[in-house]
Amino acid sequence: MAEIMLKIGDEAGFLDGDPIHAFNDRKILWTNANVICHHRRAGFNQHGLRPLASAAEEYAKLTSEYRFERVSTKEILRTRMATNEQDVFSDVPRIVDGRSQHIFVQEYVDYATKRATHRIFGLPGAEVWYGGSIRIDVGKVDQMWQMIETKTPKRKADHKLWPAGGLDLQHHFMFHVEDFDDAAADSLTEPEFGPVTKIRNGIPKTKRMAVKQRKNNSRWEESLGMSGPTVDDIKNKNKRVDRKPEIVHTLNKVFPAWRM
Amino acid sequence: MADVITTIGTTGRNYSTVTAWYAATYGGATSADVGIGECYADSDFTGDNGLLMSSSTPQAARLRAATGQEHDGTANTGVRFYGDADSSNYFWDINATNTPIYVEDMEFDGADRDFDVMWENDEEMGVFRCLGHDFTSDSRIQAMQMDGGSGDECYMMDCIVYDMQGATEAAGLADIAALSAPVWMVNNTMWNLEHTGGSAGVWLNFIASQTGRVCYNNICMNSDGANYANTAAVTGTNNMASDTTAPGAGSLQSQVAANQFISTTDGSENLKLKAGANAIGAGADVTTTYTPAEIDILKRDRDAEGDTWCMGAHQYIAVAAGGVSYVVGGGIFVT
Repeated sequence: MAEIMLKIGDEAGFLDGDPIHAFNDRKILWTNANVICHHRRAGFNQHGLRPLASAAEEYAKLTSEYRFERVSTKEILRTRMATNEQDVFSDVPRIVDGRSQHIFVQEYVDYATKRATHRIFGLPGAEVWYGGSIRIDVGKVDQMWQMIETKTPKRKADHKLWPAGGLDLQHHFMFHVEDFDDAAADSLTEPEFGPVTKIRNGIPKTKRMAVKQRKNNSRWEESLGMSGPTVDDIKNKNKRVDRKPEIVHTLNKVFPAWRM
Repeated sequence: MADVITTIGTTGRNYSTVTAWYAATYGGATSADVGIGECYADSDFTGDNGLLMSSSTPQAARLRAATGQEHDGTANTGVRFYGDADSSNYFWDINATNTPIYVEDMEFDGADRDFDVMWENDEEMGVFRCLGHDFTSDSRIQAMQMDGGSGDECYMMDCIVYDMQGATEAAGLADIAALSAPVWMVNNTMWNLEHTGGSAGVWLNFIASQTGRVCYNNICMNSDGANYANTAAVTGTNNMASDTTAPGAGSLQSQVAANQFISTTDGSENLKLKAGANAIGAGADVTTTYTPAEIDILKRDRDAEGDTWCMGAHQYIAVAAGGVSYVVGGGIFVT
């Protein structure tokens, strides 16, 4: 269930009715999965490393480009998980993908495990970690939740609200809308850009810069058709206005001028 | 002047995103306050695409990782902003247009998507102990841009930046404003900068005629243009380059990354100094003038500890091999 966080009142360059955020289902479910599976919550095995096959490791596997495994005192095996392509790296630099790459693996592990917040899994001498960033699409989020429901008592159906903070619900207004894709989210919340001219070394130069926080705006008092919280409740920044998941609005009604 | 401190994160914090904090005027700061947003690594910060901080309300704003939530100089170990949009908008346009802004101990992971971060405009901007990597832009890219009106001051200290690629312009510092206000680039580590069009990537690109430019103890390596450029009027010493452009006395030229860093393996980068690195103890002590350069990327106070300064963001201290000990759940876990 997608959510909009709306600005109430003119402030910090935002106008009343500007969409601060547009969270779609993908983003909400991903963020909740990230909270549940964060490596800092994974605990430790008897060696002080993160346990293999934990929700944290499975999450790292789903959201990373590479898996790294220490295979000797000086070597690691890197697997590009999308293709299963493998390379071994050590303290002797190798040119891979057009760049020189090396690793001093013992120092790497020693530094990483120096803090209790580390993200090194496995056993001493056979440490495992993940790295590299990938795009998290709807399919990845579905895989995350299948894994979470298998490995934990957490249920996807209970995690369909954005994990808002207490002051989010006091200072801003959050409500539900029909789901939308990432392009719509970007479009809804994009700033207004325009040409800005500045003098550089005595010469005027013009470039495209953000000139307004949001291009789109909602006349929310009219378009939301309040049932539940009153307009006064929403405008009262000392009052927390809880969300009403049972009320789902339509984006085009809330933002009538919005076009993709 | 009062500090107005609010928390940002996704597990019972005040605000769930930096944008939501900013949109509430830095968490409710008035013109007499310093608005401080303390971020928690509850989850990645993926909701702040298009963040544009430019309000004029508070005296100053600080965005920082809460204690214990800092990264350790490598990816995904603390508070992390994660690129998650395909819009042509800037991702994290932290713009000190009207209010001085300081960003501390945060990671910015561009996730190889169109990315821009840490802009400087008309007010003071400080970026301290931040980690930035994997920025790919279909236009220009830079970790810091000196681009303001009349009052710019721009400080970047003890940061690690790597793997940046821009299509039309690429720089760690794009210094394009001919102003006399200070630009301090001190104790940063920068590695692997590429461009695919336009001018070749330069890590630290100053204005040759402009004074007030400070460049001490930086390590800049593996850019496809010069590591440093237009340094004629720069004040500074003890820099390192993989080419021969490091400015100032005590600088080390033509150095090799494999002799400095723990790891340059893609996806597992660790640009802290390895044992025996040439950069160890090769920096200049600049505490009295360029504070807070003395606080390294792991928040070690080089000055208080009496260290001989290293070049780069990391102050090398030997780490004991084998075994770790943590305080876990109230008890001490030792192996």
